[in-house]
Amino acid sequence: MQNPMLVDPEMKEIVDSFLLETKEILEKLNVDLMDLEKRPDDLDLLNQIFRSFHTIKGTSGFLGLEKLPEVTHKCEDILNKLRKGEIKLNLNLMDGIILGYDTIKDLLDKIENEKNENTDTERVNAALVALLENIESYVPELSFQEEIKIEVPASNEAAQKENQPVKEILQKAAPVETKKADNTIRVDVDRLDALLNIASEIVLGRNRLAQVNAQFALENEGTVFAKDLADATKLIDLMTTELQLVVMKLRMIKIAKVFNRFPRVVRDMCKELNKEVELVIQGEDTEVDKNLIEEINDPLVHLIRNAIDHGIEKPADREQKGKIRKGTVHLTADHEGNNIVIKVVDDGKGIDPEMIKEKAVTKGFITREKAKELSKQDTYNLIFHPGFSTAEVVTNVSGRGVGMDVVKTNVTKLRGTISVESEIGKGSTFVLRLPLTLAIISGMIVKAFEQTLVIPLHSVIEVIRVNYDQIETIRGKEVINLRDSILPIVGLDELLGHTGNGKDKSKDWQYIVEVGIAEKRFGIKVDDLVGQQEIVIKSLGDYLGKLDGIAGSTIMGDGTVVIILDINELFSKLEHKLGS
Amino acid sequence: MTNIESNKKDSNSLLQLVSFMIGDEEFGVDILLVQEIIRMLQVTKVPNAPDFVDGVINLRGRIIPVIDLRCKLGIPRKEHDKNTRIIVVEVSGKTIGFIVDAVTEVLRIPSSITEAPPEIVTGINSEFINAVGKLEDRLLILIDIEKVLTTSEKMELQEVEA
Repeated sequence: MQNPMLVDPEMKEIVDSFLLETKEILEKLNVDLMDLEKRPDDLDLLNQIFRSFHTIKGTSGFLGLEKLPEVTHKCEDILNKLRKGEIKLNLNLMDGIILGYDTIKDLLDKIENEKNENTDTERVNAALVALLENIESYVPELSFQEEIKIEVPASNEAAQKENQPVKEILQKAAPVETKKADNTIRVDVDRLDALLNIASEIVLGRNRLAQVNAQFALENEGTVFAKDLADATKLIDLMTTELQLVVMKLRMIKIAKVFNRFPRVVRDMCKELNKEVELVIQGEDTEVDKNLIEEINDPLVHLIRNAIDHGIEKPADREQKGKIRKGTVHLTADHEGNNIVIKVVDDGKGIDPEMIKEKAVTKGFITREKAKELSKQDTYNLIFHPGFSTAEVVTNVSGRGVGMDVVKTNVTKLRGTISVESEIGKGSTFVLRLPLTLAIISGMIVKAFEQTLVIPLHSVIEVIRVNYDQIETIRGKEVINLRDSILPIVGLDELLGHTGNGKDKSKDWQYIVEVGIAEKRFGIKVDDLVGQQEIVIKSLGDYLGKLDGIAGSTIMGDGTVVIILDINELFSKLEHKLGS
Repeated sequence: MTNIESNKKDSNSLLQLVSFMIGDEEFGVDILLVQEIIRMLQVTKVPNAPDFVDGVINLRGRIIPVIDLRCKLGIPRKEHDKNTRIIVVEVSGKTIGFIVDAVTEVLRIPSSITEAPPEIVTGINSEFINAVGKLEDRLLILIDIEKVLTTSEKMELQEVEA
């Protein structure tokens, strides 16, 4: 059943903005709650959290909701006592507040998707009330503060002290930040895309203008007119470059949006697995394209879960090995040229290459002979093989062997790479390298069948020139012998059904672009190489949708449209063809 | 095309149309569907696209597909010349260009002079025809741009997407 208030068309705008606002508050609350666990005595933080709950209670009450204000109110009760110093935060209370938080989130989901509040909140309410009653009747022996002190290792204490003043300053600066928030406006991504489109059109116009200017200058050298035109052209040139930069920047958001979800993930996992792990986040201010933000969440969740489940040992085991009880997982982001580098570093048990080889051999991925020849790096790469899992016990968290290959696939889809470094007993590092934006790729521009095409550079291995007589056939399929390995080659007529004049009779040789994905290789016959260029990917539009073997299209400097090939899809198409 | 249909009931209402030529026949399309009319641009062929899709063009930074209306109407293709135009329309939220031989004029006709298409129309696929307008000196075929992409082809397109 739907709540009439929520489906009332006149209320739609108000409900929408309520949802948006509350979601934002919840996102912030998530971070604040995790902070609270670390600094349970921070009164400012407590007040802030209290206010967040209070806002949700107020706005939801205004909308005539029932369950949401009730749960929020119960949480508020606890927080009110906490901030007045009547009770002290302990693990049970923290769990209670988090339970409340989760329920609020569930309720909000329901409100958004089903327009009702059909979530069972009785149990949660009762639990929260019971928690408060219990706390009043007895003072816990082990307060949170003490627990933290036991866990914080000597080496970290110095670091924490250093951090403390900074955090305090930040908190003092908090009111200023709220003011700043008023300075932002929400803009539909579609509008930004439209702006980006216009900006790139202006670039084309500028190129054209530069051309005209050059020609005019040649013919009318020295005239005032020529000089004026040159000046104007220069100005436009400058402004256009600036405009393009600014527009690109508009789409960038801080990676903190993703990173901030992880303290909670780590907390939940630690409880589940009885491990003690501290998550250290660095570089959360690094900016990346909005599209990318949405795509990197899943791979990162996998990596972090893996680090905690496979990497970090149980506290007792760590002590035995002479390590500090609490494991650390570093999550860092940084710029490196046109890439963003995200690292997940754990100080756990590391990965044993021999064990990986053994597993790979028993699972039949490689032969024992080949395993001996593998370098350390190649061995680590085996963990990205589908169906590979090193966890001896399959847990709820990981060990079903679906994780790493999915991570690899997702990262490859984003045109990124992933690599592993590890040292036994010291820990492992997973490094993700991703392009800053999904909208721009480097492409190799080629000509074949009188058409210009783009092959994404990241799948190009090399370009070779072969004489026609070097091309041989095996059962009707063309191949060439490339440094003692057989490379199948295909023309675009076979791949995409082009027709027209393919073979240039005046030449006795042919360019072949060797492309590859993972271990697979093949050569594409092309007539001419035009060059290589950074290109902006555009879709073919809703009407055509996604076509087989085509990644999209782009607009060249002269305004013509060229098609970008999707090598990955062409591979599967080719394999399908060979198979049948 | 709901506009035309609802207008038809009121016999005094005016239809505002863009008229264009394909072969020897003159066609009309509701002006409200037309975004703009442009000269022929370089069309980039798209591999694996349906037959009737000529390719894609760059419309000021937007990439839109163009369809040869001759091909859709079952008239043999012809070389593009200086009169060839692309009529850019919006069909169910999607922007598509239609290549026509020439655009003739923008005209208003009272809906009272239109009538349902005859059963047999030679030369073109009659299912796209909404009505026929009887002008003083000639006939105008009112086509239903939305129907030009028939259900079966829309399905075909969706399959390609899937």
